[in-house]
Amino acid sequence: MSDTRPVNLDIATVRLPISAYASILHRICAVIIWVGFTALLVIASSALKSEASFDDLAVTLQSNFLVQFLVWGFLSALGYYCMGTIKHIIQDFGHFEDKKGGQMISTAAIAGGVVLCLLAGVLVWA
Amino acid sequence: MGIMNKGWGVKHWVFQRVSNALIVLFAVLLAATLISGVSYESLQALMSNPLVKIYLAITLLFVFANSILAAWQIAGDYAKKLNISSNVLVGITVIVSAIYLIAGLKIIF
Repeated sequence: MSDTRPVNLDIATVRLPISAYASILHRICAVIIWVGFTALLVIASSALKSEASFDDLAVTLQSNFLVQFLVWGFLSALGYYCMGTIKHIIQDFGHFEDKKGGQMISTAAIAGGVVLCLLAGVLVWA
Repeated sequence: MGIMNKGWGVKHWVFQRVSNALIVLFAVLLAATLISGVSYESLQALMSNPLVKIYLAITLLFVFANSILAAWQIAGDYAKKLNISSNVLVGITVIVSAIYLIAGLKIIF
């Protein structure tokens, strides 16, 4: 008897459902937050050190694009991470767990993440 | 590590959800603080509140442990493909996260 079922699918060669992107994005954002934690600590430390360093930080945040981009990236990653978390918790309680529901909630989480990403941009640059 | 053995899955899951909920709470508080606008004085006043200090320290401890658990899970998924030892990846995460924890606690207190 020959077994012709496909085995050991190469994930890079198949088109993934949106729920897979929602899931992997949650992980990617977690890694970005973890790496970006360095920036959060540096910013928190200089904001609290002295009034002069707080003012220096405020100037940097208003003028240095690289720092602005880092802050925006961190906040955006945190935004989607929260969306992914809320999605997880909703699904843990048994909602949106079927194929269609999973697609819906994944789309909603990603859409929410995009909105938060834009709002983070407004916060940083406006 | 004992807690990474079989039979701990449910505890990992509960811990992960609690940590993630704490991260969401922190994100909401961070956003609210940033949107309302901060000055040096308001930040000093906020950070001198012992309740804020305790809250931040607890959140930081959960985030620290959660990052190691997540590293263990993620490393388990990709270590083989990347041809790196999973223990090395987790080890690096433990070291960096421990530095974060110490630096974070130093800032808080």
